[in-house]
Parts: sequence; C-alpha cells; structure tokens
Amino acid sequence: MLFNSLDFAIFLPIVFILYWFVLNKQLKYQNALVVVASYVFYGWWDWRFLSLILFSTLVDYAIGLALSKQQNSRKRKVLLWISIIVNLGFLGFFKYYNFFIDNFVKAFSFFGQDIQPNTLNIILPVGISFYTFQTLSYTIDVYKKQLEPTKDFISFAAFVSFFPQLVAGPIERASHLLPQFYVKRQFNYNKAVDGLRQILWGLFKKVVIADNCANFANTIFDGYESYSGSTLALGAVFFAFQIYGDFSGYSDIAIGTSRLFGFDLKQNFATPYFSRDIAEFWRRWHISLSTWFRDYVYIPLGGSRGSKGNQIRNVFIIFIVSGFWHGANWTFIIWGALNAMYFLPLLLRGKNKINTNVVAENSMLPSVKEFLQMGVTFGLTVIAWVFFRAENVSMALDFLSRMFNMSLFTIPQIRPTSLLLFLIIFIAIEWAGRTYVFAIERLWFKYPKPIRLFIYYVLVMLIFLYGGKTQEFIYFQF
Amino acid sequence: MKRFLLHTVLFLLLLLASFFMVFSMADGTTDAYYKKLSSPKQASLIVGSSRASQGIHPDMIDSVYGSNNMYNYGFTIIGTPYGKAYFNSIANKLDRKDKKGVFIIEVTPWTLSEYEFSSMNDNKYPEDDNYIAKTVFVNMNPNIEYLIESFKSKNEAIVRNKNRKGAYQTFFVHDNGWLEVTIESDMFSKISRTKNKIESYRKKIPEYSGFSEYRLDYLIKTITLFKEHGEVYLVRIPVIKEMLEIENELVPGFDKKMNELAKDSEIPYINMMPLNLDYDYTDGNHLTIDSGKKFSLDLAIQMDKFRKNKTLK
Repeated sequence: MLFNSLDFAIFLPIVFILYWFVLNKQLKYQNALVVVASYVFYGWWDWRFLSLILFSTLVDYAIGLALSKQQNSRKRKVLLWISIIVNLGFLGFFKYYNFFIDNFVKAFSFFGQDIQPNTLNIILPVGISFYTFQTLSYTIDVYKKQLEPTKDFISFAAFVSFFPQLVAGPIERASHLLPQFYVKRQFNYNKAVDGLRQILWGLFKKVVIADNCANFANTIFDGYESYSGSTLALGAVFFAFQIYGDFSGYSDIAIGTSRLFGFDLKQNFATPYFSRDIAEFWRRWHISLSTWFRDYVYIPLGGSRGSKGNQIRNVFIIFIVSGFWHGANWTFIIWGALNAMYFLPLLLRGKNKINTNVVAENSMLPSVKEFLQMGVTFGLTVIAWVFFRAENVSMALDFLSRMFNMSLFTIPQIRPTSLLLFLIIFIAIEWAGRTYVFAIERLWFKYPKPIRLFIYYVLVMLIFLYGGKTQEFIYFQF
Repeated sequence: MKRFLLHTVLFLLLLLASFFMVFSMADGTTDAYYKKLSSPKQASLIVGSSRASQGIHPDMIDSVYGSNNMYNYGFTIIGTPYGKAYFNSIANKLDRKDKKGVFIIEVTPWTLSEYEFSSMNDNKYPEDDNYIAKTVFVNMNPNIEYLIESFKSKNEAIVRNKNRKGAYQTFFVHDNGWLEVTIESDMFSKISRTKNKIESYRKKIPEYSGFSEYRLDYLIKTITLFKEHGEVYLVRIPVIKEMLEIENELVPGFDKKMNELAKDSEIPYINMMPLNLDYDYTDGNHLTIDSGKKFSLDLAIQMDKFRKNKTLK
C-alpha cells in the first residue's frame, strides 16, 4: 500500500479509529491491531511475502529467548549467527542471488570458461532490506546484553512489522521502539497534530517535489545521449531532489503516522543538502542506516581507531557495504566507493567532525564561505547520484563525460519553469526550518492560527493540483 | 481526542469541498475522454476509434438522417478496440429504456486485430487495465472515479486547459461527444504528419498477429446489444491509400469479413473507403474538420438510403 494512495487514505482512518476508540482499553489488543494492520498494509502488495516477515519474527523471537537462557558464550555466538544467517540469507537470496551468479559467469568467461548457471526470476520483497536490519538489531543487542529479550510475542511482532516504517524505514533499533509497545499509549493532541503536520510535509516532498522532479530526471537520464552538458547537469540535480524528496518524504510520513498512534520514531533526515562537507552530509542523510552501519559494522571493525591503513579500510568497507545494501548493481558499489573517497581526506586530516552544528544557526543567511562549502558538497553529491541513478557503470561514465564539456555552459534544453519555482520555494522553506526536526514543525508558529491553517491548506491544494503521476517510492526497491 | 477529531474532520471537509470544486471544472477541454465518460446515458451512439471520434459529427447525422441526439462515444484504436472492456463501457453508457436508437459502429482492422501483448500475458488485453476498463461509472458528472483513477495529467491541468479552447495543437470534446482537434492545416505540416503517421503505423504491424476472433465476438455482442435498441450501421471510414495498404497487410480481406458479418447480422455495412479521394486528412488517418462534416453528411445519406430500401422491402 502506498502512502500517497487512496487505499492508504481509507486504511489510516479505519486503523486510527479502531486503535483509539475500540481497542484502547487493552494494550495487548492495541498491539495485536498494529500487527494485523501491518500485515494487511504489507500484504496489499503481495501477501505471499508475509511468510518471510513472519518467519524472521519467529526466528528472532525464539533466538532472543534462547539467548536470555544461554550463558555459554560459544553457544550464544552460534545463536547469533543463526539469526544473522537466516536474515541475511533471505536478503542475499532475494536481492543478490542473480547479481552474484551474473558476475561469476562474467568472471569465468573472462578466464575462457563458459558456464551456464541457473538464474532465477526472483521478485524482490518490498522493504526486505529495512525489516531485516531492524530485526537483526534486536538479536545483536540481546546478544551484547544491551537489551532484555522480550517474552511478549505480539509486541515483538508489532516491532518487526510496524506498518508506518516497515517498507522504507526509518530503521528502528529494538532498544528504542520495542519498549514503546510495552507501555500504554496516551492520546496527545499536540503530538497528533505534529504528526499530521509532518505527514503533510512528507507528502509535499514526495508528491510535489520528488514525483515532478522524477518526470524530468527520467526524461533526461533515459535520453541523455541527445542532451547538452547543462541539461544533463540539470537532470542530475533533479534526481538529487527526487531522491531526497522521495525518501525523506517517506520518512516524514512514516514518523508522522507513528505519532498519530503515540509512537516516536527516529529522525532520518536533517536537511542534508545544507551540509558543509561530506562527513556532515552523512550525519544528516538516512541517519538510521548510517548509524546502524556505524554501530554494527564500523565500530566492531575498529572504526577510526588503529593505523591509517585500518582507518582507510574501514571507511571503504562501510561505504561500499552501504552502497551494496541499496542494490545489487556495480553502480551502487561505485556510488559507495565514491562517497568513501570524498570522506577519506576529512577523516585522515581529522576534520570529519568540525561541522556538527546547524549551518548559520543564529543568522538568516549563510556566510560566503558556508555557501561555497554547501555548494561544493552538493555538487559532489550530485556527481555521485549519477552512479546511483544510472542503469550501469558505463552509462554513468558516459553521462558524466557528456556533462563535463563546453556545453555545460550553455542554456539547458529543458527548462521546467514551474518545477524550478517549486524547488526554489522548497529550498527556502527547508532553509527556514533547518533547525527543526522537519522543516514546517514550528516554522509558522509566530503567525496566528488561522494564517497557519491557511498555509497548510495551500500546501494540501498544491499537493492536489501539482502532484505528479503517482509513483512508487524509490527506496521500496532497496 | 474529540477536539482533534473535530478539527481534523472540519479541515478535511474544507479540503474535500475544494477538491470537488476543482473536479467540477473538468469539461471537454480536460482531455480527449473525460467529457464522453461524464455525460448522461445515451440512446443513440457512435462507437469506434479516433477516426470515428474526430470524423463523425453527430449533429450532421441528426440533421440528415433525422436521428435524435446521436452521441459520439468513440475513443482510440489502442484504448477501445472491440473487447470486453469497451463492450462493458458501451453497455453502461447505453440508455436501455429507448428502443428507437441509431447506432454507428466504426470498424478498422486495428480495432479487430489480435495484439501480441495478449498472447504474452495470458490473454489479458492491454485495454483491460486502461481508463475504459477502470471507469465503471460513465455518466457521473463530475466523474471523480475517472479523474482519480485514470486522468493522466496533474489536476492543475483541469483548470489550466480551460483557457486553451480553440488554440492550435489542442482538442475539445463537444457536448455531443465529437472530438474537435485543432491542428495546423498548412501543406507542409500535413505532409510531415502523414509521413510520421504512416511510419508509426507500419511499425505497429509486427505488434499484431492478424484478425482476432475474440474481438470479432465482442463486435458481434455489440451489434446484438444495439439491435435490441434500434438501427445499426457498420461503417468503415476512409483513409489515404498508403494507410489502406498497411491495413490490407494487417488483415487481408477485411471488407469481405465485414460484409459477411453484416449479412449474418442483418445490418448494412457502409464501406466508405472507395471514396477516400473525396476527403482531406490531417495525417492520412484522420479526416479534417471540414472533411469530417462532408463525410458525416455522405454517411447520413447512405444510411438514409439503406433505411428507405429496408422500408420498401
């Protein structure tokens, strides 16, 4: 079920009313409703894949209980590995099987051996990368004794399948979300209104910004051979805003929806395009995934400690794994490696943590230096996005070589005036609200309520009038 | 909680009223289909492809033949070939109370051919998922079902398109369903469009695998349905020679098949193709506005002759 669909517009109020009015007396009934609603939400795409979620839930629930009873460290490790193998096994099979087979074939044919392996027609279950990582965090934390395993199966099932963030995050940690299922939720007017406001902003980002940018980005990328360098650059910028609007929009809707049900999810984006360097960008982009890799991969590898060689190795591992998490294609791996190369000079010079505050925190406009820093960081990010968007590596390289020539300094062949206007307004609002969790959280609070309501009304009407053709969220494929 | 619900419901009502207001502005400028799918049920229909949609003027038929409020319910060869989807839509559009209707069924080899897509997709036809299949309520105004499910443009186009009526490169669907396409009429533009159209239709041939029994079945069902409610005419609209050659390649002996069908169904088949040099075309495939009027007039005369002959018999 898509957030930006009529189905969800009907589904959400039904679940909301059942949750607060019919089943509000008993916590376990409310949690059971969350599980049922989540399975309906997920099954709307393909009910067959519900078995995968259920199986992951059963395995990790059982392993959590077994870990609590087991004191032998070797046996505890075996239990942890069972969880890792089951979860990553599913992920590996559904997402990476054909990739590895294809690359083995290419490698063998390179050495003069032609093999005919069986490739499978595998459908990627929506959101498998997200819920796999979420449920893995539970077993790892229980293994590390940082979290008490739960005996409440319904709460655990609700944690694994929680519908607002099931298919595209934020990837929640068990230590943060699971305990919220143990306590009775109280309806809070302000929290619910904040949730609606965040849903509104998420929908605006997705429907008005991302979907409209997608139309032009797709046109330019699909026919890139016939466009000038400036048009290709514009196409790459449109894609940068498409993926930001799409993914951060989804996160906003997920977080806002959770708030309607009394839950708090982690912030997943913090105006990343206003970052002054790549390190800051990665602290602000897909925060829940970055911190997951940091805590479960980077730090166990040694992080930024140890020799320079180890530091370089760890940075490359974390970024390449992150790239590979996004998709079974060399383009994602190169995208990750490119970001590692951007990041490495900062780490090696010890300058990766200098921009930890919000840019121009106490002023309306950035300084010239900050402006240039943001421009360079955004430019580097856009170049990396070309690899993310391209169908293969040679296309990305060809795209970039055609982009960086004299035609870069000509007037673009495609100039969508209304979209550019929307982007300017969007950037202005994001800039004005950059200190908040989401841009419009407190943005217009200095105005009287009727004026604020009118602004929200205008935003909804813009979504209604200028919403592009309904498109799936990009991150569903990851 | 009550305060939250009250405020949310009030805000939603305001929004729904605003959405409804925008939808209410949809009309013949919105797109080439909306008006046809939002007009009342009709007793006399013209059905077929874009050739019929643009080329048959209901008012001309009414004035000569004496029919009462003919309605043009033709769409496109891709959107409405004869099949389950179009048949259901026609059946929903038909005012079944009236038994004195007049029906023109336009036929072309394209709308009666098997599309390769179907054999690749377990006999699922391309039109089974399009606007014609999805729009169940074909006489609702404003047609919210169509605007939400099938309208391809952004909703702002409903408002913006209202200003472009009559402008070049636009279209307008009249109250009687006739699709008026305003397009450059200079010779250079016509030659260029014709060349492109011929090329694109020639490229389409490999996508088809000849005459379709499935489509023929639904054409027969359409004829049977119409016969219960009035007089039925099977019509072929002329095109230029090059286009006819492509169609002959697509379905050899098409006219013979139509003649046999007409004979079996006891309805006239009016093949206007031999008169193709009498008319002018925007792209070799669609009649110009003036030629459409002349064609409609000629067609109405032919229909009238058939009616008189039938009466004499």
